[in-house]
Amino acid sequence: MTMASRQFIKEDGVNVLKISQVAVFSAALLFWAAYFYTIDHAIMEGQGLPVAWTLMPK
Amino acid sequence: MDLDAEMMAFKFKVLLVGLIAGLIFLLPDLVMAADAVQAGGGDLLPAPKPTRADYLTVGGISSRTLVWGLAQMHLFLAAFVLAVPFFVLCIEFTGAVSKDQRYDAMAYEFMKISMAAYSFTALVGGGLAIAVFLLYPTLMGYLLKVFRGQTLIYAILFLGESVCLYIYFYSWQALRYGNRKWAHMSIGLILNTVGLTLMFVANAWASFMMSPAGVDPTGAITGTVWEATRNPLWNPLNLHRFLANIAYGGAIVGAYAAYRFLSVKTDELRAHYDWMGYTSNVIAIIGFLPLPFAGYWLMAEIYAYSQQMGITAMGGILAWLFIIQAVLIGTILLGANYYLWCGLGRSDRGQLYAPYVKYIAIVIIGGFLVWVTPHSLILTPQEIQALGGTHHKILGPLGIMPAKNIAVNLMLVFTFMSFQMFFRSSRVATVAWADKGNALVIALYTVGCLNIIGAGIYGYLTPTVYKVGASVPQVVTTLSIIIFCGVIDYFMFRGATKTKIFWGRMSTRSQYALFVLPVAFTWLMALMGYIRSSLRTHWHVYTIMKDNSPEAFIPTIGQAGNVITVITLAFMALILFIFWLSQLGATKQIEPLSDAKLEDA
Repeated sequence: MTMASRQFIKEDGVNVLKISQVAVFSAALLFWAAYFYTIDHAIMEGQGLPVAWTLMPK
Repeated sequence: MDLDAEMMAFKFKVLLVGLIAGLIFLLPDLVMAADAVQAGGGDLLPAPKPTRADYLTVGGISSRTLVWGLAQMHLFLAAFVLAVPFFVLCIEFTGAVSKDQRYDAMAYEFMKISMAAYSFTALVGGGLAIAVFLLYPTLMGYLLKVFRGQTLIYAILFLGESVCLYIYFYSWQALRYGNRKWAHMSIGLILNTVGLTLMFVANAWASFMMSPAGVDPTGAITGTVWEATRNPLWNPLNLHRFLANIAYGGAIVGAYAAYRFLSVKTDELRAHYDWMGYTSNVIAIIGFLPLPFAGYWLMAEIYAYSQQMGITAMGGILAWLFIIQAVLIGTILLGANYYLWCGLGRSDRGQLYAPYVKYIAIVIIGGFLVWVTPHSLILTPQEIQALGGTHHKILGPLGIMPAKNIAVNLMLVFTFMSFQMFFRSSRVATVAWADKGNALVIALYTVGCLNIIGAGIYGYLTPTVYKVGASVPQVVTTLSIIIFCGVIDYFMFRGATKTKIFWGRMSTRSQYALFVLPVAFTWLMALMGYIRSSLRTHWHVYTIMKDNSPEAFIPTIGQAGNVITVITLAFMALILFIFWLSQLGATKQIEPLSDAKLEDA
């Protein structure tokens, strides 16, 4: 990768090593995890299939 | 207004009045069908039971294969000519709003290809109608009784479609600018409305044969035409065919663009056809991404209507064909992605994204391999002994739906990622929150993919009913990723600095990917058509009217493979002819020099 392209990446904000970006990324991970957890449960329960760990084989 | 124009206006009014009058006459017939049957006959008449003598054989030709070929060919052509005006209208609208004449020129060129195909559609449709009425008269007689006036409405809609299509195409240049353009797009809207209605009516007959409604168990007509139309599989089939038509239409015009890209001599024209090919590929992907979900809904409704029918499809002899389906869909996804990856070379910034291509390729090829892994293997006793059972210990779980659902959803997510990379490769975000936006997108992909995998594993480990249920969150996750990434990118790249896209800077081999798409699509549609039709097994109308012809059995996979391959090749030959016709229409002969001019020269 050339220096020019590295510069481009920085300008694009793709460089995830910035502290602020790591914080946003961590918060985003939590946010999306909460979102998918909620819709997964809602969809499964909407189908009459409650989600439970007890359904998993022991 | 001159005389010709007045005559034209008069004829148009007569046609319009005729159409409205026809509808007024037929509507009571549609709604009151059940009453009419009961009033006329007193007792309810069951569906006829045809004997061998009721089936005509012409010259030793297999009636089923003939009707099969004509129906499939008609469906290919109809899918194409119904889809093209739909996305042409969208492109025309984009051109009108953005005031970019290039969109308008491209939309017009798409329509030219469609026009050449339209007459073939009518021709094959006419041939199909003659064949079914001649070879299956009892079945067609029964269907006419069930759908009564709707068959005439179909004919009127076909007439309306033809009129609208010709007006839409031939008025293009006359209604090109200003308010006239909006009048032209209104004609396009009417054309699409009529076209879609036409497809819905035809789908009603096909789905009625699979899941009859509005009749009692003996086949006696007890409901209205609307009840027969709104049978359990009608809407899933409508949605599936609507999306498939768009993807198919996009793939075919993409092949036309590739054909022109490879044959034109100037850079300017090459750039135009490269742009056309790219747009076609985007249309095909947009139609294709939600298609597996529509297919899933259709199959779920088939199971809900008749578990036996569902098992015939997914658990019996036809199940193996879904492995071939996986190969073809994998080919389509690989082809579409490959084309997008080649497209990164169109802009200088594309190289920034090139390193990520290999990871996307790994996911797509990995998903493809999981999808083609069969659950049940055809094994000899020695092989079973060597394997330690009928299923492979490690690869066995990959053969069932939870693993395949993970594979297909990840393949779709990563195909979208390829498209997103291409979109970003010619734009530099200028908003202050661009880095945070990227973090949001990366986190969305990360958590979304983990959720797809997690839901799949959960479905695998829990009881059977959860295997089906867990696929819904997977679908919603994929759609969430696509929608949220689209929204984030829209706001992030609004007002972005655009870098130059060098249209035409594409390798020759990239164009072959555009040829692969329609071939794989055509073969796939023929294959799935065979499966859908075979689900009725030995019934003309499932559980209502038995097929007593000598060919009342599911064709073997080998025979079906031969027939659908011949149909695919025939359609490809026809499409090449249509491409050639379209090109011929734009070719002008250079005026030969006269003797006087030769002397001057």
